[in-house]
Amino acid sequence: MNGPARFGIGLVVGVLLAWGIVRAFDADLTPSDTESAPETSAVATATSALPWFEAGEVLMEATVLLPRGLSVEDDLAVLEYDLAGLSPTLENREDAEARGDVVVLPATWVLTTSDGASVDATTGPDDRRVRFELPVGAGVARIELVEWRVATPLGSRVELPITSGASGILRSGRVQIATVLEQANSTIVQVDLDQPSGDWEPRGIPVPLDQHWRVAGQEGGFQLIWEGQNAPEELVLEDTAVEWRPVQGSIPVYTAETG
Amino acid sequence: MSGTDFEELFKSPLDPPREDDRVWFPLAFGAVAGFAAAAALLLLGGGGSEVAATTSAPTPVTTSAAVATPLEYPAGYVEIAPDLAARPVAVVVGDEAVTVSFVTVVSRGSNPAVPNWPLGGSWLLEAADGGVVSSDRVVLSRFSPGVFSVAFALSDSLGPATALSRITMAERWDHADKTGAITLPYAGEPFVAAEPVDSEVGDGVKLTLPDVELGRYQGRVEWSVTGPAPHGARVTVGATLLDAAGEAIGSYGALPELVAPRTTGIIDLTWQERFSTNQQGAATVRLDYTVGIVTVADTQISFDLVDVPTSR
Repeated sequence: MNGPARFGIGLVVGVLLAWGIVRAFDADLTPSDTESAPETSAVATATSALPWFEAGEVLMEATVLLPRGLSVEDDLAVLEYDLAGLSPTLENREDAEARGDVVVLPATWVLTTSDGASVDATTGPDDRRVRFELPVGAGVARIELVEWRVATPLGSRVELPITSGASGILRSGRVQIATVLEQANSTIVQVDLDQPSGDWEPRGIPVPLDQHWRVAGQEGGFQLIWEGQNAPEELVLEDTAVEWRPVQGSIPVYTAETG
Repeated sequence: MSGTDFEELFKSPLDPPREDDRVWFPLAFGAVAGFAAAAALLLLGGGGSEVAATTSAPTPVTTSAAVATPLEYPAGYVEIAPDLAARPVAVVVGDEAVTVSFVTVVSRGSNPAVPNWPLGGSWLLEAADGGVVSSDRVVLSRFSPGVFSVAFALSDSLGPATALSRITMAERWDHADKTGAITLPYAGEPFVAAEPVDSEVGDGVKLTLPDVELGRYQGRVEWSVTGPAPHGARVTVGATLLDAAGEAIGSYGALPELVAPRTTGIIDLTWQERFSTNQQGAATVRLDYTVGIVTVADTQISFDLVDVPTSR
């Protein structure tokens, strides 16, 4: 074997050695116990070597879950967390963290007790803590996220004759023309909007396709004003509703071994 | 202990290399060099799982989902614009269209408020049987640029049960922002511009504001763009009342809202804060605008859809 060949072998050995040491060093840096309060342990997770926001974070698609501590007391386990987005945002934030929009939300969780029992829990869009009711005397072995919701914009459009009672369905709800008031130099159309309630229901705002309509919002509907005498006979409304569509999977959030 | 061992014990680093040393020297030197280089790269790049920032993609952009985007982004995301990557997360089959929904992320360290997100484009949907259909439209979330969907109208070649294999971005609509301001004399509340005002925003594009109304709490600005802007523009306008010394008295702004590009539009404004609008205070009104003229970049960026969940 000549010198260059030996050098090449050495190069490979060196690269592998460096990779192994750096990986081991990363593992050592993974935090284990950072909370000092009683009944509270830090949440250790599988993380990438270089976090997006902080050590211990959990990546859910384009949003990062930041565990804030697990407390176990009186057969109730409570995991607190924050969310930070990696997605672009319209908010011109000036803080150093520069977090983007949160477009993925945790929804269904499973806690496995130290004796192997499973406890489910659910969270809504505004929640930042999840509560598990534990069997008497049980400890926490691990917590995983088994369903999360992803913001999905979907458009819909409806064409209505401008007459009282005309109605249609948009993704963001049911629209119905309540009244039509024709004046000398304008036409005013009152549109009722019946939006479904519930944490995960689509959210959207119907708008007229023809921007000549002036829109005045109010509770439960909106008012459209057409300046002039040439109001159309048909009203086209469209919306873009953001639906939180469920995705099933398994994302480890906490394990007792490393927690 | 053998003679060779004694020699080993008492040798000096300054001694000339023996034949055996010459054999091992390249190996050891290579190992040291490899270790140093790899350690430096790994530490700088984040423990081997990250790589350095990618450079801005030239136009046309050619990327393939099969080529993993470096860990500038979370796994599975493919860069679709400079510092922006996307991943299809859902296929929704509706009564009139098949919609593919995407989530986007900014590159590591990028400012998520920088508006480099594409406003639209043209996409191709490829079925498992090889059929290809063109997109009907791109659906933008009104309040977040972090998600968008691409809708394909149902047709003879795209049915509700068609097995899908791939989606490809064929054209990306970019929108390089140009900013400017128009200052008008302020004659008191309610303010109505006496005549349409316009401004050259660059590249031969003219912004015209045919109607500007500013009142108590709210205002309204109509706009249009003319010139070489066939795909329209994303336009935002704000208004600031200034006193005779040029000091700001108060301002009107619009909701941060993502609107599809168009050539005409109306912007509803509201007060940013309470302020007096009487004639004694305000002397001029400054209309600050941002015009993102849509330009088309040819791309060939594909995403595999086989494992993307489908629902109705």
